[in-house]
Amino acid sequence: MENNIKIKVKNLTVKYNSIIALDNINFNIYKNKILAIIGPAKSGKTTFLRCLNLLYKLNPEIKVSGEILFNNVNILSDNTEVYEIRRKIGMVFALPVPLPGTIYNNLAFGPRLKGIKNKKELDKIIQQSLKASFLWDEVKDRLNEPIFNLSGGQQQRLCLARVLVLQSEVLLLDEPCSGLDPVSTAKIEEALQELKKEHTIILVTNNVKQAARVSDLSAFFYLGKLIEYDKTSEIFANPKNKQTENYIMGKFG
Amino acid sequence: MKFFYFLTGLACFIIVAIVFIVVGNIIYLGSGNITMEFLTKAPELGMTKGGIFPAIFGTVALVVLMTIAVIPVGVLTAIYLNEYAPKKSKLLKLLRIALHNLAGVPSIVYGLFGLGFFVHFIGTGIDKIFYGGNIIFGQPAIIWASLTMAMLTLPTVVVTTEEALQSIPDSYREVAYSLGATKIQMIFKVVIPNSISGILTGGILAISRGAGEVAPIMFTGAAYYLPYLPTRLNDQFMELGYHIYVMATQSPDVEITKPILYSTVLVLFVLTLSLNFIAILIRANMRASMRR
Repeated sequence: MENNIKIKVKNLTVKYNSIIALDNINFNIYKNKILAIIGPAKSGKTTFLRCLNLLYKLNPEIKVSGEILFNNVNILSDNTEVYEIRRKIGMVFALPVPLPGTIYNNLAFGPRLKGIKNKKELDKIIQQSLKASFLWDEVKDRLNEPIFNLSGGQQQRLCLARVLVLQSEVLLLDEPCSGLDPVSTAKIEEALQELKKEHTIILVTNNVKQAARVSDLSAFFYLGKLIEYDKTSEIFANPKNKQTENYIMGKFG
Repeated sequence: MKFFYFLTGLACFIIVAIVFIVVGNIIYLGSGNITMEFLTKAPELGMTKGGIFPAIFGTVALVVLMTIAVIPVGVLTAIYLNEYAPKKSKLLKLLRIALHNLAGVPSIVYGLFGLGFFVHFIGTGIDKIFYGGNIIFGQPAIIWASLTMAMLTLPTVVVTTEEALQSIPDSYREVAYSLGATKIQMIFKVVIPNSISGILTGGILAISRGAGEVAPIMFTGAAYYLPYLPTRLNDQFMELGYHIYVMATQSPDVEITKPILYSTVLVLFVLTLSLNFIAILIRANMRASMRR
């Protein structure tokens, strides 16, 4: 695999209950770049993310075919170490899902599952992750408070930090700012710009303007097919496909 | 509208009044006899003197053994039903129907089942295999009574635990998986800690029934008078509910035993309340520590 490709998607098709959710998707995801996946509802964007972190396996009715090469290894094969992949390809969901407990315990949850118990080590990675999600200053004295004391925007940044603690290589974000106010949204977008230096980021968003602001590359999905994939600047200035143009201009969605 | 308001208020009043009358009556007629002697000594002279300590001990022992049996089985069943069974399987439907039917079986039927299955079948089986035919376990014993009570309360524990598990949103499970959890880790580190309150509620309901039911233990282990306390699993035991039943129906001298009867009822009442209270305290404690 060429040096700057992190994930190679080959002939990915997803079906359930005779509905084709993704139809023969083929493209490359590049290292240290932010890829925005845009498109109207039911286009397969979330399904695609859930293939990348193998969360589709929770639903036995979903049938997946094709290959996803991550670091040159096909993660859709039966031999895959599923739990390792989920730690390397981390996900932030649309609504913040705080696990009941303290802020510290939420962040330590992932590493503890893996067996990391040393408090000094945990403290260190937790602090690093909170700084990387621009949350450290706001919670550094409150780590033992219940997570429900935080605002929605803070909780979502916490969910981002919770994934960073696992030192994931790829970050999947599924409409992470959909429930947030503009200030929190801006903080998360700022964090992503910093994070792409060390991580590969895939951001699903319904907000076309956010895609234009934040991403380096954009992929337009529509009804399960990949319609267009290009640098963000190109797609927004010169969309080559009429459907892409219509979606970006807001003619449907 | 006002008439409806009056009607519902009257219904509440009637319920509260009934509780007050019943409890008040018990306290009034029963508290006279409650002395340290009553609570700590064994009965003497055909239940006309002495105390009911063995019955108190027996009731607590029964409830403890029953809880040890029913909680793990009930909780594990509920976990299987909610987390493992494929949602549309026929086995699942069958299990649920079986569970709901079990909940409606009268307690006397459980008692007879306990006698036939535990005492005569399992008990004599154990005797044949381990004790060469001597009657050790093939007779009424506290272990069989506890297991019979555990079967009685099992549906309640399963249903309350299942409801508690279902109330945990799927998003919690997905987050756990997405952080690299295996299914077992997800269940024991996310789902159970967050539903412990509901699980304990099932336990509390089971305990209340356990302390109060008499029919299931009548043939499987309870006795009216024993000169010893149950210290081994195959001992019989005295029990407050059973004691009350026998005193009320077979007493040779009603005048003397009636006050003792009321006092025994009062003791059972307070004991059940205390067991419930302890369980509720434990539950509140766990809720508080989850919030932290």
